[in-house]
Amino acid sequence: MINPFALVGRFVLDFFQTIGSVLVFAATGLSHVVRPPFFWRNYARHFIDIGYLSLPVVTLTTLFSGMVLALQSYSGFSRFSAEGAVAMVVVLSIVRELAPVLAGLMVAGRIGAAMAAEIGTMRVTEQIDALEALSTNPFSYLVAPRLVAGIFMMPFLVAVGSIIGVMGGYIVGVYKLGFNSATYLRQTWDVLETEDVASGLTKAAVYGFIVTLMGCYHGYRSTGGAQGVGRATTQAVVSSAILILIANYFVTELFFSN
Amino acid sequence: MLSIKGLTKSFGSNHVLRGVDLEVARGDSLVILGGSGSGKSVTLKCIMGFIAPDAGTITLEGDDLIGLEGQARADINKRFGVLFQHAALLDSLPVWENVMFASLRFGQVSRREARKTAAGWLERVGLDEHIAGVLPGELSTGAQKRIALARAIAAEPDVLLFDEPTTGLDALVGRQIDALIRSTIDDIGATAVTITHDIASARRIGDHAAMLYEGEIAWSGPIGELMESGDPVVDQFVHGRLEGPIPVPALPSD
Repeated sequence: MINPFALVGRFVLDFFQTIGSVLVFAATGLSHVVRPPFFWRNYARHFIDIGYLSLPVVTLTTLFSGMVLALQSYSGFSRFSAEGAVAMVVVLSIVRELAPVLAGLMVAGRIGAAMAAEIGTMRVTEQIDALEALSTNPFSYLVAPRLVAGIFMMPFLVAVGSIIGVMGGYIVGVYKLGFNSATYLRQTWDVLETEDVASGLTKAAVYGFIVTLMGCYHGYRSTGGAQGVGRATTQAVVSSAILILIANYFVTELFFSN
Repeated sequence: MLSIKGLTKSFGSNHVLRGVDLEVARGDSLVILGGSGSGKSVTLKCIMGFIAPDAGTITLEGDDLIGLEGQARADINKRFGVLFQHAALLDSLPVWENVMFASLRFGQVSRREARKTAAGWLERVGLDEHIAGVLPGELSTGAQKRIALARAIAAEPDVLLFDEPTTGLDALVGRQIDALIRSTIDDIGATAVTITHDIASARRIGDHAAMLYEGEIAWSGPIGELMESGDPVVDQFVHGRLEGPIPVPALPSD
């Protein structure tokens, strides 16, 4: 007979064991960011992979999100004659929330999955053992470059994504809904504060860390051949998405709780 | 000399190694034989520091290899060259960077020099230099094994470790790899430890052999005595007999 207390106890123990394991992994990875050797080619590769090659998917996502947001807010606000707030709603929503979260989720799907699959394959084909046999710490070679690239390139992606998203709102607002171009831009600029941009970029850095950490962690610990690599890839994407949404609340509270 | 004394390792209730004792003289080639699950790979992984044994010692020229971590482990690993069972080439790097990985890693050569030097190592293992820029995944298993061998010897190690070097290769390519391994051992004068269950390969590579059975060394001696050791376990294994002390799972009857 199944003991429900044992089940709950096992779940709680597993949960805290996983948290501990992730924290140790993150601390080890970050410690190698400041400890030589530095594999600059790997850093360059991941900066390009995350920052440059993810641009199309992030900009496309934020462009259409900005466009939809303008349409939806116009349609909703017109019910109580507040159409004039469209520009403000678009810029605040995009910069504070939509650009960081959407970019985070898109990068989790594109980069987090790829990292878990690549490192997982390296694990099951003994390439990580080979690195150690070649006197190379896998955290220096594989993990640190990815973490740094995630932390630094996600804010860049979100900055570009925010501009494109606001542009999407502008295009719909001016060319479809008939707003005056100068007025729309002035409202956008006037409502935007440093805190809005800072919160968006902080979120981006946090999400970049989460996505790369989850990709590396699940890939590094994968076992059991192709099936294990597939499982690691799924876990990397799902855990990144959940952690991004949880972290979103806490960073928002950090900036805007007052 | 590579010396292993009282090596013990268990995974839960599975006692894989139960006090393994081995000694390999400098420049000697030892082949460790054994069936699947006999503990060959675990022994090799203990030597490489991938697995921490429960008890026992492993020393290389008097230096203790157990419990080393970080830089100390990295320094010791410079003295080893490893040929992994499935080559384990870094598939994001071209062939020449794989071969010269250790030298590039420690800044011993420039990238331009490394590329030139890699051509020499590739030639040494019977490969043309035109594959130097190719990614490993585009090459055959036999070619990947040769490249992995070139990588293992490029750092001119004191000890070479070979993990099932002929697994996954056809008889002809396997024979070529054995010949390459043997000539490499002789050329660079390295101590070599090979684990395999391929008797023909063992006889081509080894000077001495040791039979691992149920986590212990059942027999060891010169390779020339392997086929007529007089030990019932070794005799059954090397001659592939179904009858003997090694239990063979029964096939389902028709």
